[in-house]
Amino acid sequence: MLVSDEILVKKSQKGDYPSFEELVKRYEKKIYNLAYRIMGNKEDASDVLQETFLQAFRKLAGFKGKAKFSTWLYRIAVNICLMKKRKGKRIETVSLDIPILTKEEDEIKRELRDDWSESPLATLENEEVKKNLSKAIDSLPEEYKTVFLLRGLNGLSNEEVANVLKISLPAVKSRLHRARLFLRDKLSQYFQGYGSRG
Amino acid sequence: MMDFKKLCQLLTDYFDEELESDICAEIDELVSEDFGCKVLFNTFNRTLQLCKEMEEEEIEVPEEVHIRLYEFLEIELRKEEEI
Repeated sequence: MLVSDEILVKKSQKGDYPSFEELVKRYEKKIYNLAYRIMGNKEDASDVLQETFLQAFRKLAGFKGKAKFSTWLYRIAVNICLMKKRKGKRIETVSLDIPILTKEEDEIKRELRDDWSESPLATLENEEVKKNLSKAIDSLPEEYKTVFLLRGLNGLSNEEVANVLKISLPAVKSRLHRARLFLRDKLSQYFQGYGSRG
Repeated sequence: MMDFKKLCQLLTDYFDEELESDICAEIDELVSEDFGCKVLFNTFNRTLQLCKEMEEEEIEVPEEVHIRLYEFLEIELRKEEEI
């Protein structure tokens, strides 16, 4: 039978290293994937992974179990990612005003001429689509990207994302929606460009 | 009254199944009648599907990173114990 996170945390708090190792084993891949998508490269993702579990171990004694262990751990990982990004050389080039949100309704409507949703090219098997989507996710402003990734990649609920990021539920919903509209817009731009090339 | 602007605002709630059934019905009706709304609806839905597929493609932790993590933690945790 699978031992719960709560039990492993309690044992780890008493200095039981194998229990902590089990927690590492459980969340290593999820944290690595999250870090990789936020940081955009394996080297930084690897650093974030190490730092997350080290900080988790050091702070574990103070963990009261009010939130789920996973929520607490994701919060540590996201904070490390964001701190690392601020310190790093990469400067955000995308404005917080996501393009589609500044468009007038008529302007969006004019763009809605082609329904690419049924196109056989609209698949991840199409490397160009995959690359474009990945690039679009990467270009999301951090506050939108973290919500989008926690919600999608890590399968957290809106409430859990709100807890991880310490923001309100409406803020999570709003950021998620804006991120999705932004990605749709980017894919539409790609497919319109594809049509004009063809 | 459901219109393009309202549809644009409600898409996430619709696909996350967080809307009342009567509002969903209004959306379905609008989408069936208005081409622009239909395109927005369909392409938004396809975007979500593509994102989901991408999210499902989990990256494996490289073996050397995995080994380095455990070695690093062992060293650091030993240091903690010594303190």
